[in-house]
Amino acid sequence: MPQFESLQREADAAIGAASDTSELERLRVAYLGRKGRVTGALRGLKDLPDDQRPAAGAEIQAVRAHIEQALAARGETLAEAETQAQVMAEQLDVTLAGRTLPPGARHPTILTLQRICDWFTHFGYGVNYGPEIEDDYHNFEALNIPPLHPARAMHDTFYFGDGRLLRTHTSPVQVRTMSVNEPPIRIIAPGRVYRCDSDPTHSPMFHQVEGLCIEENVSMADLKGALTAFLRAFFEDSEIETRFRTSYFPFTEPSAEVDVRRAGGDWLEVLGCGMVHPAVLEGGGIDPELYTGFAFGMGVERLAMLYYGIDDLRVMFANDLRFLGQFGGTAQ
Amino acid sequence: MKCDLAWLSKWVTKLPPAEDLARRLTMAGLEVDDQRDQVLELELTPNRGDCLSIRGLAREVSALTGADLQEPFDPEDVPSALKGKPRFGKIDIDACPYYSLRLIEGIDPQAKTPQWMLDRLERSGIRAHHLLVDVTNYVMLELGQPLHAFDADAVSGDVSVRWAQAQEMIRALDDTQLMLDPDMLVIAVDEHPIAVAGIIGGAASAVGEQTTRILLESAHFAPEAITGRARRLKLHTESSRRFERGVDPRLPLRAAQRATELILKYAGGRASKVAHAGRLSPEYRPDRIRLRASRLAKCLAVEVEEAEVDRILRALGCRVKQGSRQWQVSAPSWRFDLAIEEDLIEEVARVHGYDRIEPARVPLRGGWEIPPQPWARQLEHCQSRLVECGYSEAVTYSFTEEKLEQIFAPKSKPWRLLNPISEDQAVMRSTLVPSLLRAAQYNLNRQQASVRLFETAKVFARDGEDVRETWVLGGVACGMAHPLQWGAAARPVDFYDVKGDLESLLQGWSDSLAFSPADHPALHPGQTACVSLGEKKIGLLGALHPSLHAEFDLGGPAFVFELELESWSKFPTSRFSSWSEYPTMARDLNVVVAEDTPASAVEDCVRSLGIESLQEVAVFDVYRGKGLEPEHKSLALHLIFQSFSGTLKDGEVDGYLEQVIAKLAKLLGAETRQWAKP
Repeated sequence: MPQFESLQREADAAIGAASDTSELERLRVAYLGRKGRVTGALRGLKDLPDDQRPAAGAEIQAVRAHIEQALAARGETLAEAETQAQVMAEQLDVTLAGRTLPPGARHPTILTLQRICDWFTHFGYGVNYGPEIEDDYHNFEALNIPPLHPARAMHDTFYFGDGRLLRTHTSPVQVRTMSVNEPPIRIIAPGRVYRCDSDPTHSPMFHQVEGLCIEENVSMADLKGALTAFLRAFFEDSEIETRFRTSYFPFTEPSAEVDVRRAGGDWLEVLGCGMVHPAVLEGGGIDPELYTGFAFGMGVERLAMLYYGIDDLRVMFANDLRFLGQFGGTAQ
Repeated sequence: MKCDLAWLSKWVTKLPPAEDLARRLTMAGLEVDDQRDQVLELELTPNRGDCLSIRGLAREVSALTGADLQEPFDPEDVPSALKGKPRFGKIDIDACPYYSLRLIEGIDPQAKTPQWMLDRLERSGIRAHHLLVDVTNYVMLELGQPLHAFDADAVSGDVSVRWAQAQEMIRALDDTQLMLDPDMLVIAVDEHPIAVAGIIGGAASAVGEQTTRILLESAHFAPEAITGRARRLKLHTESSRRFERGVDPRLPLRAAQRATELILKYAGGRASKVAHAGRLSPEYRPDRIRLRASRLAKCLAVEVEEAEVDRILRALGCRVKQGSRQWQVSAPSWRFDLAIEEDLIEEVARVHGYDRIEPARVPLRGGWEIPPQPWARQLEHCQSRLVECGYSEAVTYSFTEEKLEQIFAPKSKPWRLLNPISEDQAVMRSTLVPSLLRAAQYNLNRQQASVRLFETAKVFARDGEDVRETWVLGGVACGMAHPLQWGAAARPVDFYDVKGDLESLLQGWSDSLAFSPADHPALHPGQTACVSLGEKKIGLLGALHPSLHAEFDLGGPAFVFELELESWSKFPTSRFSSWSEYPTMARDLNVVVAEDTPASAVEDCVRSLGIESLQEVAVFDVYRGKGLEPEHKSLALHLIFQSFSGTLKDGEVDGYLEQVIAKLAKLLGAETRQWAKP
C-alpha cells in the first residue's frame, strides 16, 4: 500500500540523514516508539476492513522490520564514527612525565647489611645485637685483649671516662651471646661500631657484621666453607676466588684474613676470621675440649663499596640525595 | 717494616724470587703490602715482633721455604781495652730484667758511616744521622734489638732504671718536652731522667758531632713496662714498637757486641767490658706446650703428617719432644706469642698452608633458634614503607653537638665522650632529629627542592647510672611536597603530608592509632602531635619550631617525626573479616563548630551513637570565613551506611541522621545541615 511505502521511504531518508546516535534514538522513538508512526499504523489496522487487514498487517510488519534494520545499521556506523571521533579527540602526549611521588631509596650500607644478614639467617644463624656503649670487659678483656695488649693500639677507642666506651667492633656480642646461651650457637651480630679516627679512608662510625658458630666439631674447613659460599653469593659471582691468609686477632687462633679476587683483578681484603680462642670460649663458660667454634667479622661499608663500585668512604655518611637516589631501583 | 732483599739474602742460603717470596710471606701472616725494587714493605701484626728484623725475617723465610739460615758475621766479642766499666744505681729488675752498658772511648767524631750501611738503612726506610746513631739503628734492623748510645760526657754518675715520678719532665731527642706518668720507666742518673726506657732518649745526653765517648745501652725491657706509654706520649719510635711487641730476651749482649764491633771498625776507639744488671736469661725455659695430633686434626680438618708437624715446629725454632700422637713443644725465646696448643696449631697450619684446608660444604641443618627481636620486623617494614612514601634512608653519626642535644632534649644529660674527634661529635644523641635536619640542610644547600629522609638507629639516654639504648625511627620532610611536575600545582610539604606518611606507615595498627596535640621545646607549639597506639605513646610528629629555622638554615618549615620502635605493640597479624554485599548509602553533613573543637571530637561524637550500619565517618572539607561566625569552622562530613542484613531504606538512614544531628548539637553545640541527598 502506498502510504506504507512512503512511510518507509521517509524513514530511510531520515535515518540516512541522522548525524549522531542521539538523533537516531529520536527517530527510533518517532517511528517505533509507543506513539510512533509505525506503531500508529499498526494501531490503525483495526479500522480496516477484515479482508484487507492481513495484507496490510504483513506490510506494516515488513516496514517495521526494515526500519529496525536500518536503525541498527545506521547506529552501528554512527557509533563507530563517534568512537573514532572520541579517540581522535582523546590523543595524549604519552611522552609527558607520569604523575607520581617518586619513591625514595635505601642506603647502600643498610642494604648491604641486610643482604649479609639474609644469607646467614638462611643458613640458620640467629641475629643478636648487643649494646653500642660497651664496657672494657666485653669489648677487650673477654676477647683476650688485656689492658696493655698491643692490639688495643689498633682500636682507637672512644671513652666515656667511667669505664664505658663505644664498642670498637661487634665482637663483644660473641661474649654476650656465650654468656647466656649454650652451644650449639650460630649467630650473626650486625651493627654500628666506633673508632676514634677520622680521615678520608676512616670514619669514626661504621658498621660491622660479626658471626659466631660454636658446635661440637667445627673446624677451619667449616669456616672456609661458610665464608667461601657467602662471598660467592654476596658478590653474585660463583667464579670469584677467595684466599685465606694467616693473620692475627687476639680472640681467634688460628686467625685468617680473607681476600677475594675477580677475574683479572687484584686481591681485595674483605674480612677477618678464625677459630674462637679457647680463652674466649672459657670466658663464656664453654669447654673448649668439648666445643670448637669459628668467628668472623666484616666491615659493611667496605663490602658495600666493593659491591656497588663506590670509591669514596665519605659519601657513605654524607646522605646526599644525589648519592642515595642511586640505590632506589633495585629490590636489594 | 721494610725488608731489603739483598740484605736478607746474606742470612738465608737461597731466597725465592721477590714475587714468590712476597706471596709466601703474605699467606703465612706476614702481609707484604708492596714490593718494588727488591724491597718488601711488610705490614706486621702485633704478635710478630720477632719479625721486626732482617734476622727474624730470615728465620721465617727459612721455616717457610726450607732454605738454611746462615750467620753473615763472626759473633765473637771484641776484647776489652779499657779498665773499669760503667756503674749502676738501682735497677728495677721486674720492669727491666736485663740492663747493660758499655763504655766506648776515643771515638773519631769525624768518622763517616760506610756507604753500604747507608744504603741498607735507606732501603729499610731509616734516615741516616751520624755514625753512632746509624750503627745502633743498623744493629736494631739487623738483629731486632733496640740500642741506645748516650754521650758519656753528659752522663756523670750511676745509671739507674726506675719508674718516673708523676709529672717528671724530660726533653726528648726530638726536642719535645715530655711530661711523664708514674707508670713510665726511665733511665736516670742521680735524680735526672736521661731517657724514657725503651721509647726515646733525652736531648741532654744525645750523641752528636763532638761525641768521643759513649755509653752503649742494650737492655731487655718487659713489654708490660713499655706498652701503651709511647702512644700516651704521642710518640711512635722504632724502639717502642719493638719493645711493646717483645724482643728476644737473649739478644741484648749479642747486639751490644755487634754494635761495638761496627763502631770500633768505622770510628775507632776502645771498649770497656759490658756492665750487666739482671739476667740475660741464657737458661730461658718457657713452659712446655702439648700439641695433640687429634686436636690438630679436629681444628684443621686436614691430615698433616706427623713428620711434617715435627719439621715445621723445629724449623720455627721450637724444641720438640715427640710422644705418641702428640708433641711436647718449647717455644723459642723470640716467640712471645706461642703459649697454648692452638698457637701451635696455627703455626703448623700456616706453614703447611691454609690453602691446603678444603672448604667444607655449608651444612643445611637447622640453625640455632633465638627469639627474633620484637622490633626487627618493624624495622624492615618502616624502611620499605617509608621508601614508598618518598623518603630516602640516611646513615648519620650517633654522636652530635651538645648544643643540639640541649635544644632537643633539654632535660636530660647526654653521654659525653671523653675524647671526641670534634665538638660537633661530642655527645651521644638521644634523638635522631637534629642529625636528620643537618642532613636535610646539606641537601637543600645543594639545590634539592624536596628532601625527605629517614633513619633507623639507636639513641642513648640515661637510666640512673645505666645507659638506655633504644631503637628509633626518625624522619624529616622539607621543601616541596612533590617534585615539580606538569599535572599538580607546586606547593611546600605540610604537616598533613607527613601525617599521611605516618598513617600509611602505621596502616596495620590503624585501629589503635591516634594523634593528639602535644608539646616539645624544639617543635612548633601549634603543629605538634603525639602519636599513640591505644594508650601507648610511641612518638612525636611536628613542625620544627620557627625559632630554630635559622640554626638549620632551612628557608622554610620542616616537619619531623620520631617513633620508638621497641614501644610498638606486636606486629599486627592480618585477620580476615567478611563484608556486606548490600548497597551502601552515603550522606554528607556540614557541621559548624567552634574553632577549638578538633575534627576527631566530631568524628568520635558521631561514632559514639553506636549506629550499627554506620561504616565510615570522614571529614572531607574544612571551611572558614564568609557566612560563618568568627572563631568557627564548618566541617564537611561524609557518612557511609551499610547493613549486613538487607538494603537500607531512605527512611532508616534519615532517622540515623537525625540522631547524629541531635547528638552533635547536644555534645558540641554544633549546628548541622544535611546536604541535598545524592
